[in-house]
Amino acid sequence: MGAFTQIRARIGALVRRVPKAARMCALVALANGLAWSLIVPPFQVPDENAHYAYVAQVAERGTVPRPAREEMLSPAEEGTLEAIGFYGVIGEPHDPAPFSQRQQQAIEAVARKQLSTRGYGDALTATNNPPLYYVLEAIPYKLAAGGTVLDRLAAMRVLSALMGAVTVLLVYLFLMELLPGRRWAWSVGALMVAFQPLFGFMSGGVNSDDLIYLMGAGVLWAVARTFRRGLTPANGAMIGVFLGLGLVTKFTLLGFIPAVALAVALGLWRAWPQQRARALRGAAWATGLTAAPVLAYLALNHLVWKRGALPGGIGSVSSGSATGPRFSFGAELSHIWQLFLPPLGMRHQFAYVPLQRTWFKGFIGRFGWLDYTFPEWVYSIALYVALLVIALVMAELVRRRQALARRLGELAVYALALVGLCVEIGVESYRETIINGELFEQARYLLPLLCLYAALGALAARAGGRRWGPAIGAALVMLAIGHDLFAQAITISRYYA
Amino acid sequence: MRRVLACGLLAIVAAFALLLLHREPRRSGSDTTPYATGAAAVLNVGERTCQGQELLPADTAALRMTIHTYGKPGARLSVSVTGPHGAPLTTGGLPAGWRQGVVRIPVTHVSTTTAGATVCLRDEGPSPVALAGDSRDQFHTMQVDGRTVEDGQLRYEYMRPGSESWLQLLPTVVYRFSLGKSGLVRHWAWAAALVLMLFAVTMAIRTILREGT
Repeated sequence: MGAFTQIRARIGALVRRVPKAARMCALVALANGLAWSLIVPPFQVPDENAHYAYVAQVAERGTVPRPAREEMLSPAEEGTLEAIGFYGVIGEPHDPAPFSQRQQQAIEAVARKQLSTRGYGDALTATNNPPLYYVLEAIPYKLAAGGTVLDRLAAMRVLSALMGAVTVLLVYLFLMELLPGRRWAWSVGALMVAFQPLFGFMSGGVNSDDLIYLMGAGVLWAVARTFRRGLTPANGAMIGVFLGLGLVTKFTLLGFIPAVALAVALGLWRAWPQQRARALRGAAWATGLTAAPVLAYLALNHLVWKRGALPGGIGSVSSGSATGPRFSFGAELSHIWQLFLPPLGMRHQFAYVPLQRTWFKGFIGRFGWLDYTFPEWVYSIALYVALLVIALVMAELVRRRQALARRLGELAVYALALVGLCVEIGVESYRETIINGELFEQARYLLPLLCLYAALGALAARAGGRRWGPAIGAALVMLAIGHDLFAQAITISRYYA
Repeated sequence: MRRVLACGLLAIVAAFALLLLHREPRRSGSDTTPYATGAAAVLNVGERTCQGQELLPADTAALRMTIHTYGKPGARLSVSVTGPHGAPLTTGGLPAGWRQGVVRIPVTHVSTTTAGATVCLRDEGPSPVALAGDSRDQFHTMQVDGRTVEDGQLRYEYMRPGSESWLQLLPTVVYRFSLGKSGLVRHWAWAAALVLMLFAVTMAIRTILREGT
């Protein structure tokens, strides 16, 4: 009893140390994520059927999925997908969600059949993912065990929304470390994230990306703490925990490893020689706690689940089809470059400009199974707003150039996190092109960098100084709110009108 | 800062008021045949196509399809919809002279939903038409002049009467919001989403005011 009281007291003290504004921003994100979870019809978040199948496999059989000969889901999930008209709605922006009582009766009839919730072991596109997110989602799945597939999905979406709230909390804490001095700017950045429509949309659905956003924000927060307070054992442990758990959520976070390695190296260098022992312990904690979950995952794959150490591989490329393109390292480098930047004397690999179509437009808003967007004029306005924000950020950086010069190492770490993630996405994209000839990249893959997006917002607001800064910040937050509400309006129009 | 927040809120409210008052034709439903511009069937003068297993939604007053006329003025079309046992549900048509593209064919207003309906469309001349659709799914069956088309089905969209604003459509949207969701949330999901967003916006404004002053 004494231990329980002590733990409760420690948690209480920890929560009280989090600023009230941070908790308020997290609550905003939670409310927004829950609203999105109610607005978006079941299974209309990308790959939600696959992620649900993975959770079902973990909860029902206590193991991870494995590729089945035929991609088949459990009878309960498959029956529900057919009853809600899933296959007729995804990718078809002209087709609404169920619109008549007849369809509702068909859905209820499937639920009454009590079909088996055990699948054939396959979780479609999610099959090769690491299990952390799915193990956590198995808790709401089990809590709603007496309900239907749709009940379980609704419960699982609540946990995703909670992850969104924690992500925003971590974003706030990151801004506190990164930009000390102007409290209101932290709220501006965190609220811009809380109302970012793509983030809200994803937070309202079942997708392992939700946990990777949290872990990405956690890593960057821990790195910012390390730059501000030194490479202490606690800060090293935090880096390791977030990165390690992130890696067993989705391997996307491999892109952060070079940045984290640089941060730890700079932490050691700055601590040398006065605080060498402490910094070495910090580095050891960072390395050990990053490696531990990954090694445990590799061991489980090999010894318990009897599958390859890294199912699906990472960036490995098979020969592809006999007639399709063949792997070439030069072409891969060119592919990665062109995925984010204009081609420079290279053979064009895209018939469009990915920076504009995939990343910018995708980040502003492309929802559902990438099947509906804003009207074109919204993207034009967004471009002007983005240019204005960038101009304000540049002005602030020029104004603070002396402080910036002192923190170039830290800036290099964040730049490396961006580059690392882009390269990781580029490798996966090239691999998908070679093997399946399909597009892989989506704007949501960049959301582990939400902290940097928030930093841009906070810096833009700070450019106004003490006099105009709060007003600029308020304008940015109101824009984010309007953007989010408009995204919800087009979602309602897409599915219910 | 308070002025900026007030102006922002006002702008959002004004934009949503405009949106709510915007009128346009609204769907009562669709047979979820993938949207395609390619022809699934060609009707020569006097020929008729019938497609079974359609879900005819309540509040339907027109059918919407994509029809090509090979650049000529459109032929006179007649439509009839029958129930699973052959009982007539509605009829309608379009006089000759319309332009190819997305075409709205008025029918007598339908007030109840019928599953397993058969929609028939006849080309009354003077020229052939090509009807847009996609490859066949496991539910629908299409015939042209009595012959089953093995690999094709037409896309039918069902339209509500006239044009409606979002405000007028709101009760329908609220009703549709309650369909196809978990029984735990479906009856109050729309209200909860509204309350949650009001809470989120209020909380955000409070945070900005608290921190910025």
